[in-house]
Amino acid sequence: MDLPSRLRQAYEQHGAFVCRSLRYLGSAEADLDDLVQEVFLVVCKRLDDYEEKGRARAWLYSICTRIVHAHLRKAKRWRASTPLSEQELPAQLEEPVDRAALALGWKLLHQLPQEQREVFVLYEVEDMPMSEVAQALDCPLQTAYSRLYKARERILAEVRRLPAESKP
Amino acid sequence: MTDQDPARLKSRGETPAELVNALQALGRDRDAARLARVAQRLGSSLANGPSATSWLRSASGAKLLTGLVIGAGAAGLIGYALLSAKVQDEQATQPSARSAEAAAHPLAPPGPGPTADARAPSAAPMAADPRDLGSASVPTRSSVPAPVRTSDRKDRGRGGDASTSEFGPAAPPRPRTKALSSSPPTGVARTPTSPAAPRPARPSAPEPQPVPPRPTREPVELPAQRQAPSRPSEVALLHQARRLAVGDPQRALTVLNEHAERFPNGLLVPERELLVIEVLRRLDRNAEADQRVRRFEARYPGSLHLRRLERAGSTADDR
Repeated sequence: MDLPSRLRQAYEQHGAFVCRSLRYLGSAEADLDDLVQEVFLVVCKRLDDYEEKGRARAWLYSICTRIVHAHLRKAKRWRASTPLSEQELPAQLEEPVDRAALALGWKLLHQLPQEQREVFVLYEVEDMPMSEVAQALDCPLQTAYSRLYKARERILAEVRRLPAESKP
Repeated sequence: MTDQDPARLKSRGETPAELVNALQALGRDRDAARLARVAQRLGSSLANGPSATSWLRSASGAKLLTGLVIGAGAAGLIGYALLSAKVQDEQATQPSARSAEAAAHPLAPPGPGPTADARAPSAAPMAADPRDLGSASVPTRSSVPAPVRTSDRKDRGRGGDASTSEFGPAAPPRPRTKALSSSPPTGVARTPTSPAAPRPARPSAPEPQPVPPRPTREPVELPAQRQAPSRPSEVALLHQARRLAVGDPQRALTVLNEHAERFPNGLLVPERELLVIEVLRRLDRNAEADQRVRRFEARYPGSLHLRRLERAGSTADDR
């Protein structure tokens, strides 16, 4: 079967992205395993779409959105995803990452409203071009831009407000 | 479009250093342990076909619930429909009943008079409610709700086959009460009994149903269609073992072993494990059985089968 090998390729390439996106979309840590699996089961069913569309990540992101929303609807409540503290992070990570920086990043992202956070993350963290961001979020390009600018303002203001001791 | 994009914060000189670091760290966040874990689960669920286990399992609870809710709603609707039918019949028959009674007992009109009056106001809101719901407003009460309900039930998969058969016998009472209430003189006496009659049948009936036959019945279709080889399918093997379990547990065990070899990640692994435990108990190999129970608990925490296992275990201990 060539299906699993193609799936594996998608998984290796974008698994971490899916994982991060689900988190930013509001999934709780406890549900993440299930949701990542669900996303890739959908991917497996529609692998042909995946190859046709060049913008795999935008497509994956829209699947993530649908899955998270369906999940949250089913759960009838938001299991609030709280920013992981620095102590919670280390065990999970593969690459050497500046943990303090990561925790700070989480904290900053949680200051943003969901819509702005999505644009901000996809553009500033995931390095998607804006047109792809708009596609992933299924919103007009101009809307994506305005959300991005608002998010930036807010994040920069937060960074400026940081207490002196947390600055390097 | 891409060239119109503003420069990213990370690559802009004036961005505070800690923000740049944070953004870079976020982008490198790769949860390897989780990815490996999920990859394994994905692999095993894909081995059984892309749409196999996890979705069915997670969906079954919700299906059961919605089935119950719909059942309760249906019971309520039937009650409403019956009541409103009764009221209409009564309203239609009241004058004639009164006149008939007045003719029969010219000396005792005060008796039936007040009761009929007392009934009318209490029944009126009942008749209004279903109209608000929009479903029972059609006066032909038996024809409207019934087909909706059965088709709903069929759509519900698991709940369908068992509970439609529950609904089959529930349907006859309706025409019967209709016939009764449309015959003028008896309508008064039947009102309290007839809506109560179908009700107890419904809540009590679905409860014993869900546990035993369903887990095996539902997955049966899937692997049978997919594998359909000349050798016995996963389901057929399990059926064979189940038939043998009582009369010839030893042979049942060999069949189960074959099943385990051929379908290590099959859809019916929990069912197989359950049967193995049962057979081991029959063979008085209780230590092995207990060990398997423990393994089962570890592998399928919260499984519905566990309750059955506990029951089987306790009865075995009693013996």
